[in-house]
Amino acid sequence: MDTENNFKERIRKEYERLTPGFRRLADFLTEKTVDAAFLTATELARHVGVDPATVVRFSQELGYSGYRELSREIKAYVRDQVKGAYERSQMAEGMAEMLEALVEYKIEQVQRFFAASASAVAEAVSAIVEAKRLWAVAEGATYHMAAFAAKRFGRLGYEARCVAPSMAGTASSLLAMGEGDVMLAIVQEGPGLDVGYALHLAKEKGVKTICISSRNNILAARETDILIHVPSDSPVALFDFSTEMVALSLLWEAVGKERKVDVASADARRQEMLERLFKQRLETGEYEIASAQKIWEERLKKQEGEDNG
Amino acid sequence: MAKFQDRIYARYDELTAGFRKLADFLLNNTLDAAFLTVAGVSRRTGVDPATVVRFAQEFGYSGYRELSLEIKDYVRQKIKATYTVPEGGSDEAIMASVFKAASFNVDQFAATEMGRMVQAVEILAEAKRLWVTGEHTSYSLARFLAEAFDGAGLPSFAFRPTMEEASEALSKMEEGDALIGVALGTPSLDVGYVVREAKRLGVKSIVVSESGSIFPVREADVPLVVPSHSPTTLGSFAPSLTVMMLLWEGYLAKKPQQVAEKLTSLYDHLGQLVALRAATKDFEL
Repeated sequence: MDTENNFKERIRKEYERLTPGFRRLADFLTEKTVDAAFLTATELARHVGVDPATVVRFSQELGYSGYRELSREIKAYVRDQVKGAYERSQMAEGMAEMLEALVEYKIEQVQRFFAASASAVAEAVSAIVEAKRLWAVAEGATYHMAAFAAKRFGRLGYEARCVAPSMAGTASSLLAMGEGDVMLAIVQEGPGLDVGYALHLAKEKGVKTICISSRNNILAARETDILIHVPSDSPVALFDFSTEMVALSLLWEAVGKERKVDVASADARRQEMLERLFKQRLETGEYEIASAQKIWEERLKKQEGEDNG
Repeated sequence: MAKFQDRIYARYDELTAGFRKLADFLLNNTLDAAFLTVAGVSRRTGVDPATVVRFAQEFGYSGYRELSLEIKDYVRQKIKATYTVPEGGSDEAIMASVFKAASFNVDQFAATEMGRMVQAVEILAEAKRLWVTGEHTSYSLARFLAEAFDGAGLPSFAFRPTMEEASEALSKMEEGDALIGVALGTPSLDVGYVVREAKRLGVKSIVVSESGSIFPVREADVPLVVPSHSPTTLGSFAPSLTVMMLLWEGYLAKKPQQVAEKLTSLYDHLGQLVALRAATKDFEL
């Protein structure tokens, strides 16, 4: 198919100029292309909430004779996609099989995890729901997962921070920790000793501790109040971290549901701020860049003058 | 702290292009301006002399003479830094000139901006919480500052001034909090937006920058404009870093009791960690 001029490309080019009604149609066709392939103009109009004449005008706006021609192209596009997926699976049979087996393995692993750890996850959710503040802790590459968790829980209205458990990092975080706080530790590879020490000392300060770990015998797992044990075996790699991510996401979603009032008000407030910031961007004068640029230009000129003479 | 700067900040957005040229010149080249007549300022900025006079009157002065007196007064203690790298100088001579310029910049800052420093430390000492923001490389400085103040007992949070992070931080800010904006080397518009919104929420703001005219500096409750002349590069960040750390030291000086308690606990915790390490059994690995 002519990828340069297919309907998605035409929509992309015209998108900014479209009216709100046309834009709703454009969104539907690009995001739900498979559904659209099976709809008539009238059905499409009903789905999107515009009248059928608008669907026809929209098609013409994009350069088609009418919806019939556009629809034919959508159908051909979907057919090609399905065919392409089929061909890909035929071409790389070994790879396709391996990935399919891996997906099945993952699904089974997540089910296994939940069967074994449902009560620990529920306990952790209750602890976080009650928490005043949240401290996420992890070492190595997993630190970034903890940082992500802290940001995510921040979105739920928590004062959430991320701690890298170096000596000074742990010690200074402990300064601010207190009863009513929750520490969420994630341990992936490695012995996780520094995380273990952090959990030990946080507990001494009355902090409730949760640890997501693939091993239940390491120090961090033994120190924590609530252990969420995740399977990390992989049929193809050394270890797997998808179940850890699933566990984290489960915690976040469940806590979000429990705190939906706080979340709704935090969301509304953030949305208001987003709109205000957006408005400020729109109102920014070009001179704002020029005045800063001038400083550097003057210095450059001065520098050049000195270099030359 | 000079009245003319505050007057200019307050009305900067409404200025005509010609007046803005003059404003930028007076804010960023204050030292030069102090030694120029109306004709000199006019020549340097490319606006006609009558406009220079009208500009002064627009800001409530009887004429340029009165504004000039104020500028002169402001820079009385400043002598223009004219360090250059010694021609064919040794590494040692070059470093000596860099150090000399850096300390001269800090001296200059201390000579005229002490009032603002005092105000800034006052804001920090009274703050319930501190938010620190900066874009690009300034974000790393923001994080450093936040951790330093956090360690001293002021709950502090660093964030990038991108729309997503800024809206989240703003949605959590409350009256009584303080904000530090680090705006080094860039126009820092996003920092400016945050400062403006924070002000609306009753949050007092301090902005550290080497520019006297950029948006966040004009919006700040306390702008700290740090001279950044360098004999070797386009500009030096060393004086700005010094000023930021002096804010921290100033805060420590205001809260000796709190800091002493924090430090005692910090060393207790470090001791506990050493003890835990020492008691760790071989099987853990």
